[in-house]
Amino acid sequence: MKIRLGKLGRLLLAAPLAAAASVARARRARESACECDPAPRPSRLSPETRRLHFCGQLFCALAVSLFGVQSVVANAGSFELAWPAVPLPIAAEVGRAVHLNLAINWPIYGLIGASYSLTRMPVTARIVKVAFAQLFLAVVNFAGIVASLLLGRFGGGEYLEAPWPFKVGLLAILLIWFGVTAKCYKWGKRHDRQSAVTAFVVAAGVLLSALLLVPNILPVGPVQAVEGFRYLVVHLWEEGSMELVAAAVIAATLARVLDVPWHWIEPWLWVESALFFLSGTFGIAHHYYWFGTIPALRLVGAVFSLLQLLPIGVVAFESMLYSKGRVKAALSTPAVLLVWSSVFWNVVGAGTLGFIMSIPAINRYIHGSFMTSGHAHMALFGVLGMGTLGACAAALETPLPDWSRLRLAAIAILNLSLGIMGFSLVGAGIAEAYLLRVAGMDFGGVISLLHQYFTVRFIGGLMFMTGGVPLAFSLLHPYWKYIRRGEKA
Amino acid sequence: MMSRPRLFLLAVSLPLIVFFGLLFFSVGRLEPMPPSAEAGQRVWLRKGCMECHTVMGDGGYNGGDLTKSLSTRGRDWLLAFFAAPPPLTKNRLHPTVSGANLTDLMSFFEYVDQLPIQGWPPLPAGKK
Repeated sequence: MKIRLGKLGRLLLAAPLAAAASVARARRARESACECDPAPRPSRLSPETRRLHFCGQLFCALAVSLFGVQSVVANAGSFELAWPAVPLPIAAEVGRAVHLNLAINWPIYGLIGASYSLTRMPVTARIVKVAFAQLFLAVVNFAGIVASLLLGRFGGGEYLEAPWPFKVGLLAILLIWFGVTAKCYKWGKRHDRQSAVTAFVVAAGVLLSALLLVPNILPVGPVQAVEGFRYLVVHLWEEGSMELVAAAVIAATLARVLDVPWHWIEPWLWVESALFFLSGTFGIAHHYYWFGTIPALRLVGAVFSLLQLLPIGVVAFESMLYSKGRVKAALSTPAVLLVWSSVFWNVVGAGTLGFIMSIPAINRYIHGSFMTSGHAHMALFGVLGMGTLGACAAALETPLPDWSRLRLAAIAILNLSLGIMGFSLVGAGIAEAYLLRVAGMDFGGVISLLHQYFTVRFIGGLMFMTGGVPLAFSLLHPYWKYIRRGEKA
Repeated sequence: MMSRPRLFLLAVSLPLIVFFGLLFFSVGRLEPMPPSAEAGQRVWLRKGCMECHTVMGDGGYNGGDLTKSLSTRGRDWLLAFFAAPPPLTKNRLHPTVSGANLTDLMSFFEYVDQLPIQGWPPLPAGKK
């Protein structure tokens, strides 16, 4: 049946179409307005702000260098595990302590660097001096930690082996970071919403990290208290405060690199950060099951560990949202690929595997086994490490031709090798749990039967080195050439 | 309507306050460790034992859990172990302690062994 539209009919049809077009024009106008303005071009930043960016890039360079070193020296530990009878120059306990302290410290330096290099605030010369002093302190403090550990001077439990003066040094580094970021928030409240929101979330995470470190400076009290406080750093940094910092820094990095409108990012940043924090705070109970705590804590730990999957789901959804229409650009950008890798390991290694391990009936058997080590590799490096490297890769970008293909290949190798290392340790943990806790075999016998898992893990570690060292080189070498030219990116 | 930063602060600080309240309340209720056991814990941490061994499942995984080492191996076995530690590699013996450090470490093992930790580690089938 033919429908004939008279003049009035055509007018009535055109009106809603015109209204929709007008709404779309208004939205485009809002998007191009001040609030969503892309970052000020470098030439519009004050000289002091550019110097702060330079300091941030040096922090990132320090982080990437330490990552490169770690990817080499960690092989000594995996070699020792596979072939324990072969003598090595460094004792196993010293090597492991250095490895763990590298794992804690370089992501912090990387996130400091990335957050400084994203600053838009016109800073004062004083802030720049403080930031450079902080960088000097970071180098000296970390060198002190390594020297103490090499001399066999331990000052605490796992991840907290640094003697107390160096923990105070780390606390000072965190507090300086908080101070600079708080100033950025104060400025951003009046001038730039993106800066204000990013700085707020980063400052909240950093201040909390500092507070959580305080009870761990000197391990005193009953063993349950010492271990309980230790997990404030081991868990609440990784799954709470540092998660806030990483979320905000990575969000701001993606906004810059992929040109994602900030008004898309901000609501999800708030949701993700709040969910990470709410679930992570009581999710710490999954580390407290076998301390002599109340049995109800097992239910709390299991439930909140399940809830921890929610923010991980949000993160995965966000990465799809921001990549929409930008997939080709994203695939050729190392920073974005590293962030995507971080999301992947968040879902697989931290979220899914972590939740399975937190189920009390399973945890009872796998607690204290190599499965924890596998999970730690995937969560600590896979999530925090990859995310930090992504933010650093964006911060260290230069206009010079870079080694893009090498970087992309290195990232692929890193992911593959992390999977090999992580899952071989998970396999070792499952076998160990069965042989030790079900079959009742002696520990020495169990270890000798796990040799093939440790061999695979060692091979994974060598592969990791073939990805880690080139990635570090490909990030640092162009940047070094650039600053030698006398320019700052 | 509350601003987003304020809402966020409220969302994170309330659970944090509850959590820290519970944590400090729980820690405050713990029985103090005997001084010798506390000294033993310091030896345990200072010598880096937790890099290879676990206590209550926390530490390194190369050397096995020592939570119930006193009840499973016995004091005499442990003393003999530290008196003549076995080789780890061709050139290195297992680290050892002696004298007052050893006495304190034994006290630490004794303390940890009797902690009520919900029957962890689980015993293999057929063993009591």
